[in-house]
Amino acid sequence: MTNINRRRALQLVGSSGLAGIAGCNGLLSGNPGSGDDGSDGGTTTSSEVPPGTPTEVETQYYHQWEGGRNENDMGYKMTAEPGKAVEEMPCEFSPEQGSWLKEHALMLAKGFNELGVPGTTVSNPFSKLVDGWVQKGLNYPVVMIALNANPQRAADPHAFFGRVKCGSSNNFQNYCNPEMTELVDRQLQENDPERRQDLIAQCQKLYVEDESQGWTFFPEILSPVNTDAFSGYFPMPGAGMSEDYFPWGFLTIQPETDRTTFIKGTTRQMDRPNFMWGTSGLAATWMRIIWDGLFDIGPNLDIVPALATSAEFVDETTVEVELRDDVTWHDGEPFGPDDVVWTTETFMNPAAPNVAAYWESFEEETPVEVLSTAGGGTVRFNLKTPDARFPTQGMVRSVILPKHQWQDADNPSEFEPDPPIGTGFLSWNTWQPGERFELDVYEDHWLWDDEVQKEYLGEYYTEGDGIDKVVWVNTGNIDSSIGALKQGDIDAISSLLSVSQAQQAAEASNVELLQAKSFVAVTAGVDHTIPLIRDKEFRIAYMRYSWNVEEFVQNVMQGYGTIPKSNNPIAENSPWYTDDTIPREYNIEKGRSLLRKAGYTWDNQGRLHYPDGEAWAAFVERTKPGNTNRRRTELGQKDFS
Amino acid sequence: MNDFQRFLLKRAAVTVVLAVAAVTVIFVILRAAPGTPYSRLLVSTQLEPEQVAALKSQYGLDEPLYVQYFDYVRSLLTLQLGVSIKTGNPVWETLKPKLINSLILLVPALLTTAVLSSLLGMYIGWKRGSLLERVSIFLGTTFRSTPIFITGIALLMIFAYGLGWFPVFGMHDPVASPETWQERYLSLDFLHHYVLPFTTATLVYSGDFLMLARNGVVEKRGASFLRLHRAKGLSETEQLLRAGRNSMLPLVTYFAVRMGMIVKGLVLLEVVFAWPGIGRQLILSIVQQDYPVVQGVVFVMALSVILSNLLADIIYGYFDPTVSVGVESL
Repeated sequence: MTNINRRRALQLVGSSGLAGIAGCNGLLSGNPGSGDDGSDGGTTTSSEVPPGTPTEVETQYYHQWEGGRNENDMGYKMTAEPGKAVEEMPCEFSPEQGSWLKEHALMLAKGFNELGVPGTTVSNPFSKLVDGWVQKGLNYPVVMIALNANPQRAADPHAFFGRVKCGSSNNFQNYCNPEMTELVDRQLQENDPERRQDLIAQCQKLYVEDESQGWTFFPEILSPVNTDAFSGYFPMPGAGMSEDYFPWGFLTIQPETDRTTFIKGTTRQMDRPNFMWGTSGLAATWMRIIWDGLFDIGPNLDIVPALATSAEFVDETTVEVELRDDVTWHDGEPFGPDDVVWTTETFMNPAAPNVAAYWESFEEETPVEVLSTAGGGTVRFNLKTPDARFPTQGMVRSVILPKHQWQDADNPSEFEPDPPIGTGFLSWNTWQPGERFELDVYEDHWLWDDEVQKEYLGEYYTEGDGIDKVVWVNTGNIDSSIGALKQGDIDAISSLLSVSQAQQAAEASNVELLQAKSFVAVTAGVDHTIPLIRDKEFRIAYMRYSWNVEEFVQNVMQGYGTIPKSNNPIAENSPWYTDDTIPREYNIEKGRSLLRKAGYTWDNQGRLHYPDGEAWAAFVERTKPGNTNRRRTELGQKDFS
Repeated sequence: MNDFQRFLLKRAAVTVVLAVAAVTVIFVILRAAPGTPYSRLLVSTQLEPEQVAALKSQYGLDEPLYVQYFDYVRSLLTLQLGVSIKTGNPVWETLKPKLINSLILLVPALLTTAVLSSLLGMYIGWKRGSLLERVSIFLGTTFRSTPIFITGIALLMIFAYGLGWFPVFGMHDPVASPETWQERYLSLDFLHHYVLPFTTATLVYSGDFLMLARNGVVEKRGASFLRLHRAKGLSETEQLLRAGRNSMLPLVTYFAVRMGMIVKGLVLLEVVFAWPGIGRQLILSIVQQDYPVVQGVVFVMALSVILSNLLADIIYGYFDPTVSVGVESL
């Protein structure tokens, strides 16, 4: 662990970034330039462009190339010209996502600077950052987001790859490789786990090869916990004790005093328990504690049985599911296949947005039917089309509601059960919005069975009576949470903390720091409509060779982060991960060498210029539709260095 | 129609115009903010843009702005304040308990400081030049000019974190689960949590009342009616009481104005002490871009300020005819 503090790190990263920018500005002031877009006045060298070659390459949508969409409405426009100095490349970030995002953006900007491109940073509120993506794509050439480790991102890799299909409305980067689209479609239709695993590996390989998107590092989840009052904390990947996505963290904690109520401080507020027809992320987390799904995500991020004990594709579009026997709702009523059928049909009409995304492939006529009521019962799901993520996301991220409580509701989307009854390992006690949320242990749940816990938790299994209740109290702000934890008033904080906040909390003698790995990396999305980014040679030089992620993680994150081998969104601790991807390394000379071979040049002040003459024609060819994911050598272009 | 009635009518008209302006400004500012309540869903969930668009449509956010505006005004006129995007419940249902929590904290604090600071102010005004006057003015203006969150944090640092006498946050102990209103507002647990935010609010409000009362008495000290009272043989205390009574008008009107402003809570005070009041609800709703709730909170706040100003005007106009009649008429 390094001793360099955060201020020093900021100085290091900032000074180098600013130096690069300053150098470029110096260049501009010395060379008035001939940039005709008025953006930065970049210089243009001689233009011996081969006849018939366009002298401009504009920012374009891939849709536009095929016939047009939103022609005059693009997030960020740049125009490449032969020999022209490459324009400024801003990296957008949102400081509300984390205290270190600014430094991370500076690292990305520094990567540009080291290649001779003026890199800058732009700070925006998160809502502004994502606003307009659907119509315009990204607002800037590079946009950083610190994604939450939401369980759906652990459950199935389609959460990442579903967004990179050509023409997909949530492909905000406008990356388009028909080969990737085909792979994504094929894996979605492949019900055989091994064959799908292979296809997912191919997706990762191609994704990295294309440098579709940057995934810089996996920030560790730091959870300060009260060790005077409780022991046996489990570092659940993606959650620690800071997020409430998974049950496992609650199962292992054992009281060290007479107090058996585990108290978590929070600054968030649940809007309404009925999250299925709402938009509340916190309700979707907390209520999944009360309402079980058919399957769950295990402590090793694998899929484990919940209300269902097994699921099998009997043909490409039919899944038969065995339900768990002897399950009762919190009010004592028995759970059965009727509940599954009723819930599925209810979620489809009116469509429940917060679960419908995972259930979109259901056959509308008979989405589900009861096959047997023997034992726990058996149900059959009928899909319109093959959907391999149904067992890993659809049945994991949905919940099953008690028919006997909901069936009389006039409109389920407006129904607020009082109290909500589920089958979950904790049951509803009280909720005072914005103040307090209290749940009781539901001892009849299978997860409280010692044998089940031993099976799943292995070495993390703890012996003892465990807790009786969990209470979330609203502390108003993070500083109050930290203070309350140090005072022993609460036992953990239900929120992601920065390194300095976590360390501040852990200063108290009753507090220790629990470290958990994440399965979602910080991402740097790049805009594939911009000419420079469309050139795969530049993408590789920038995204594979110019980011000094190690320095950032050591100096800014104080080592609390895992650097992936490549720009692969799938984490090493995921069962879907493949190691067979092209590694990323911080090596500016390699990056510059690639650019040199591709015909880029630098002026005597180090500013990068677009290729010129014959090399310009090669650049134009590389940025054409269909070629944006092909290397110079694949296109038979010569070495221009 | 007499002068006072004309004055009332004018003031009422101004109040209506102000209310309409406030309502419009709130509406426009919220819509001018970047993003929508659903922007985040595009990255945080697997919702397709089409599903997000359907959600927007559900709450009428895809309608033209003027339609949204008239819907909003209609909901205000029916006193429903609309339906929360996040909870799906009427806004008033969300606000009511928060408003009660704010009032439970702030009304007693305002009353306490109004009475104590005014009495102290009158006394030091009478004892002009004393050490007590200098100390009181120093402390009163210090608390008045110090941001409330600094006073609150200072008290927390000393009495909660340092001495451990009081809890760090909230209205109740985390393991307490009050069910009746007596348990909620009259228990020792509540009192324990109440002391620090109450004290902070009291200190912050104290400066204004102290200085108003003090200045009023200082002005009255040389007045002829007091010389008459002195000549009649009234004691010092009796003279002070009469001087104080004659200084009450600005205090009463200021109290009315303050009482209106109290509804807006003290946002930062509630955030620092995690007090579940209307101010903290406003912050949460702004973060979540829950337009109807933000509109509802700001509307309630604006209306209370406007109405309290109207009340203050009426009080002044009633007790001081030079205000209602106008200088020209005199």
